[in-house]
Amino acid sequence: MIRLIWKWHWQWLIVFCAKLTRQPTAQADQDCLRFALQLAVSRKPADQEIAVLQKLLQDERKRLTDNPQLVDQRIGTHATGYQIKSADRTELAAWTAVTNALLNLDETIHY
Amino acid sequence: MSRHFSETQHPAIQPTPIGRRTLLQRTGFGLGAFALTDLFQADHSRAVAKERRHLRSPHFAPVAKNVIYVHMVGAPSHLDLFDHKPVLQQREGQDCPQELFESGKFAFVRKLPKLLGTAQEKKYQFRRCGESGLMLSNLLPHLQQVADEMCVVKSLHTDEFNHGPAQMFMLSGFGRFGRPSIGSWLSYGLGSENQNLPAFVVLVTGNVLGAGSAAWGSGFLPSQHQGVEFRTQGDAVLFLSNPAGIESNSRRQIIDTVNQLNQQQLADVADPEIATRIQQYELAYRMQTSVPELMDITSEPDHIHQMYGTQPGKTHFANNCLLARRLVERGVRFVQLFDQGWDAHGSVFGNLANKTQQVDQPIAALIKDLKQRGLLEQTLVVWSAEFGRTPFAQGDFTSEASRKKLGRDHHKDAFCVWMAGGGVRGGFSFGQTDELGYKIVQDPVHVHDFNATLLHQLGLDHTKLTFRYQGRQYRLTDIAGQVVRPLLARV
Repeated sequence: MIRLIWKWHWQWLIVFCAKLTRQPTAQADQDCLRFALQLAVSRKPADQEIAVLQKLLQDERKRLTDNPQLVDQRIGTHATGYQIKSADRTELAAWTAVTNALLNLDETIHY
Repeated sequence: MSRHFSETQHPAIQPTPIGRRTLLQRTGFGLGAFALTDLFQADHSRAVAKERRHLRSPHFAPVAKNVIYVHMVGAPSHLDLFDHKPVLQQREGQDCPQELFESGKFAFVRKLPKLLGTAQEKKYQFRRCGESGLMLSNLLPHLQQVADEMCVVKSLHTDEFNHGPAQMFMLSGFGRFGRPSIGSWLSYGLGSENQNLPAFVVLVTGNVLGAGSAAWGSGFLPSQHQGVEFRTQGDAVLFLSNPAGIESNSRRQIIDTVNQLNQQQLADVADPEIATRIQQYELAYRMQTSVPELMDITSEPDHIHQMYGTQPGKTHFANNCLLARRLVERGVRFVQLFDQGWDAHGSVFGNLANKTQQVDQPIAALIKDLKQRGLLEQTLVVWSAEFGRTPFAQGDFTSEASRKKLGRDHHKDAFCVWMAGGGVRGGFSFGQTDELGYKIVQDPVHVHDFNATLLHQLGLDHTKLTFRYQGRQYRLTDIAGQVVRPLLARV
């Protein structure tokens, strides 16, 4: 069964990483994804893996920009108590999907 | 045509029409498309071809396709429900024969106890039922109506005398953790007929049994064969619904991403458990649609609800019986119901009256309902427990008040289970115990024999359904068991 492991502190760490890069350029995305995947599986990620994750991240950003109500739904239930600038909220919501994937990898769970 | 599973390796890397590895490698990044086409397209030929890949051939033509296995957790007093003992009633209050008492092992009773017969009131008495004249307790008025469908084994015996080990022994053929349960063996041996639901589903009323979820565990079999518990309140499966703000298309893409990355991992290390996980994520995604539809019993007509005595929205044994039928209709191979609360060390008759009232109508309705839908022939219904209860009392006879509190201890040397449908002889009783119900005097049936018979009805030879683990072949029946042919309608 799907184990939905919502470890929010990981996600905050990754969002922090995203914030450091200031602008979500393709290169910054890749650096963050590399960092995130390495954090999850303790090895150097392959380029192909990063490409797969980047596709998810980009599609999620588009989805959330087209449907802004999803951003509030995703963040509203979990991130109460944190002050987040509205520009960052969409980023956080998009990275939620990415980190959800990372935490449910066989390699993350199994090793 | 017989097929030795023993010759093969792990099922995830077994040769299928298209090797599973090849399948995954070829489709690679488009795995998600599989589930989507199944859900949204009516491309039957492809769907059928895909299902075949997941089905395995039995060893010989099966009589039954599915099993609904009801385990009465705690063990009901078979002496007061199925094995009528008038002599025990006459001898109530007398000392238990010393040699009998000393021959057994009991959980609580240590001093020589006194015999206890079935209560004399009319509601506890037995009656000959149906054309077959099968003797059943008046506590089971609804089952009395379907007596001609029932095949009662009065001479079952087990190796374990405490709940947890006995539950494991009954369900996995081994008194400790670590072996696959019957449903897992069937999932492994026959596969699933519905790719949108697990092959092995578990429904529980009352507390989970002492053996815990190991009772529906897959042991050393790949974990895709373990039973999946459906809860009857809230989400049927934990986290079945998407969280807020995650819509179905996001969920689909997340699963695709995970599966693509897992697929690369599988290609690198070839661990079959990764293949299992990929399949399970796909199944879980499909279950997000299939399970809510399945669990919605309010769609059933009123007369069905009245027949079962269901209470929609609550956790109730009747709901689970109705769900069992719905699961079998959808091709789920093995549905396991557990009902807690039968362990009557005290007040055995009060307990029985209460518990039988909860289960009698629903389980009889299940049999009638399967029959009217033409499903009973292919569905084996089993009433089982981990052991029986002693013919002697636990407690003392000194006062009227203490007499009312008398119970029965665990008894492993003789107890009853029954089956219906699935090609077993209806209105039939097999085996015999002595006049006190203490020891078997005719046709003993060991748990391994019973399980061998169950597999036989599904077209599986229990000696051939094996899995190699830690250097040897394992089976449900260990190194014993014989099919009890007299129980079968067609031998």
